[in-house]
Amino acid sequence: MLEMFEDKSTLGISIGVLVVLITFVILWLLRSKKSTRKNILLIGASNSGKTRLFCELVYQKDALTQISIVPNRGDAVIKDGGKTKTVSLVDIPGQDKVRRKYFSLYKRSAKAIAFVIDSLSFQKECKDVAQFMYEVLTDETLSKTKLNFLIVCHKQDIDLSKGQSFIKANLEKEIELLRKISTSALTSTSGSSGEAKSNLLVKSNDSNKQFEFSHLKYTNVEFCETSCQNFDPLRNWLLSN
Amino acid sequence: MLDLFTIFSKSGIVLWYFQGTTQLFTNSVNELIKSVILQERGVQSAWNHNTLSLQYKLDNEFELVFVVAYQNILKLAYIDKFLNEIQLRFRDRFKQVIENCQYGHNFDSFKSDFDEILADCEREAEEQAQMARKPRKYEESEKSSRTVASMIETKTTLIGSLVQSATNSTPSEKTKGKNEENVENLSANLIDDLESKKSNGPSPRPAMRKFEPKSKKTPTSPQPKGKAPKKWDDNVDVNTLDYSSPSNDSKEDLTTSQYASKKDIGRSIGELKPIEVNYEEEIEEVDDYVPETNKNKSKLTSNKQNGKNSTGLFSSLKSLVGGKMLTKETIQPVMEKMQEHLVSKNVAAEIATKVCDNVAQNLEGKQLGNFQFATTIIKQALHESMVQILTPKRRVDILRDVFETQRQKRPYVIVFCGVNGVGKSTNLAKVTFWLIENNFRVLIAACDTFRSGAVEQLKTHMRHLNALHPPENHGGNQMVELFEQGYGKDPAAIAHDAISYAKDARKDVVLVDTAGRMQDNEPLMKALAKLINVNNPDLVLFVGEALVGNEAVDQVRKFNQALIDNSPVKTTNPDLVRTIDGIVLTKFDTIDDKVGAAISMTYTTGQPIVFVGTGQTYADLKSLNAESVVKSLLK
Repeated sequence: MLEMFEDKSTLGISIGVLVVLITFVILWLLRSKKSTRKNILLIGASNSGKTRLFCELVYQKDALTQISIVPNRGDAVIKDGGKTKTVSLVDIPGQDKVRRKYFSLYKRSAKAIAFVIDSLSFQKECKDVAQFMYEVLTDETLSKTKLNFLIVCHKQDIDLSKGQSFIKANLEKEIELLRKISTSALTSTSGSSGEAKSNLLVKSNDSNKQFEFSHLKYTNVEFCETSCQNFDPLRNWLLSN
Repeated sequence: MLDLFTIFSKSGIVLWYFQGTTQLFTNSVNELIKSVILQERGVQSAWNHNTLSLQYKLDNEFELVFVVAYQNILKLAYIDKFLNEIQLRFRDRFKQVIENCQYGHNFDSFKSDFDEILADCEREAEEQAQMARKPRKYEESEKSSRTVASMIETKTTLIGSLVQSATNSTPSEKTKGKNEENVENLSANLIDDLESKKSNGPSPRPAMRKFEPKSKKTPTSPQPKGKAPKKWDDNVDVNTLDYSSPSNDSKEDLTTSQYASKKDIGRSIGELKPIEVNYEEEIEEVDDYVPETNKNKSKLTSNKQNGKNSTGLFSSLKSLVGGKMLTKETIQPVMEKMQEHLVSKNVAAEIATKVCDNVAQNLEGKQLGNFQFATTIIKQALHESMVQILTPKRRVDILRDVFETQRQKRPYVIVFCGVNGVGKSTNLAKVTFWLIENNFRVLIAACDTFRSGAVEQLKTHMRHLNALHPPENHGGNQMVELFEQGYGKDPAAIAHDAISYAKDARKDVVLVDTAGRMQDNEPLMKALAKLINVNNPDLVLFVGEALVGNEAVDQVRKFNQALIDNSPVKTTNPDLVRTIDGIVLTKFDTIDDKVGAAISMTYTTGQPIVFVGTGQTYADLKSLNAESVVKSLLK
């Protein structure tokens, strides 16, 4: 076999080329593995029940929780009749101080996003929730791909909590207002971030109408009502993703 | 004795807890996380919430938090030791489980260990208390070991010592001459030393100096700013000097003045743009920490020229990549360097220490990955920590809130306060411009009734702003109006009148300009507190200049404290006490990369920086970009 090569230099060069090629292939494989979107993110304001939901889904245990400082990561095994599915979940802290940091860390790996809302204190926190949601929806890296977005109206087991239709209507109103604030820059300067953001948000023919979640260009938004006793809608949504 | 002990992961899942009473503790612990851990305030001693004292310990290797709570009337001395013991025991027992993040595991079996350690610590503390209370027996004291003879001072020893001191104090002529000679020699030596030092170049601190001045922003307008000099000769027309008559104003083109030009109009619609900082190449010098003691001068100079020197790199390698886990010893020297660096960037010394201590606390016990330098990890941690300090803890969105108050048919009230000469009125005018650009009608309340010319200054601003945004462009509405009642009146009353006037006149925003006051001036601080308590504004902004260093902390703290002390509800309802809600950082364009005041002020108050003033024109108002500020801090 070795006699096929006339002198040793040809052998050396060919081996060298082979090694380089193999490294490239390995590197490419590694990178492509990293860039796959596989995580499902649990986001939302602080004290909306993200970590509790995470514990229920991953450890099947109703744990007590405190304010999160770092994200939780884990695999949830979901059984539905005959089939089982493993979903990798990431629970992002909701505190204003840290959520941007961790959200931008995990957003590239996001396959789908569940936005958890505390239905009980929604009226009080409406502005903050809408602001965060607007930030997420207008995020440039996220809006480039089609994304499933579930708005989880949590804590429905408490009597005074708001229903999903009320929450939806209020969020749409708030986001419309936020859009107005950031797109008022449209009139003077062109190509500013405000204009770009509004373009990301809605289809062009809907841009002058009142904002609705169905107008979103890329994101597919669904709503559901859950509580810690009954979070089947969330589980079904996870199965479908 | 303990009311609560809880172990939870940093991600917020409670693993195990013990409760002494039936009180609910989740809120107290959440408050601790919110106002201490997330604010990056690493306090070692106890932190008080209502009647509870809380103390915590972080386990950075396994990402755990241990919290103890007890009634704050108790003084428990053993808490530190107890936390340490518990941490060690918990790690030993559940190492496997927590390493794999299996927080679903049942940790109930820890109860027996907990009881044992607690009993041990309590017993030990008890014993120590007992020991301290009992007086020592005579046999245990030092005195008992001495003989009686040693205690008697004999005459001979006394005289001997006296003679010695006498000869020392009155030297003879001979020794005097000798002494003088000695002195001369000594001084000659000293001078030689000094000269040799001078020739050896500057002091050996290369790391801190090389900050190239950044390229200054080029002025946007080509025409020269400022007034033209007036020629004082005989043929000056008296009428042109009369500035009091309004006819002069019409001739003067208000739109192209030193404050702003026409092209600024429309620039600041919408949210404010964040400040831009040119990211220059990060200078690596702070990175390679080299112990200064084992460097000689020749090495130093070459080090300066080449940036990285092989010996410097080697010694830094040796000193920093020793262990795989970060310990106090590895962190300490780097931290000292960092602290010095922060102080050189105008961070108040006290704050720099606190920030660095907290980062050290957060890093201790962290595992180093392969090929990771301790310095890079520490620097990164410091970076993250400071970004977190500058990140607001709640939503700050004035435009959104103005829409809200518009709906409620009342004006949105902002009060500006601060020490003298920091730029309250100037930045108030800038904020006015920004609000007008966003189509809000503004009323300025001139509550500086003390400094002469304060009202006229605002009047001038108002004229300029109205000229830039004439009523024709806004449906015939005059966009800015000034509410003034002259000098010497009570500012609180003027503000109150202004707000009720604004309500009637359907103004959207009321900006209250107050007189500058030093933080130690008790009566003036009382007046400010009164103004705020009477009118209950939506936002209280503290205006501070970016030029200040250590003073920044004192100013902000005393203003805040004065507002708390003079509040009528401070005893009945402490949650309703109005304090500073936000900070306006002015003169930001004058400080180059010494942006430390931003950190000092936000750390002290815990409040966000809402506006940053970056220049002379109305459009020079920006929002703070935490990332870029921290980058220029660590440069």
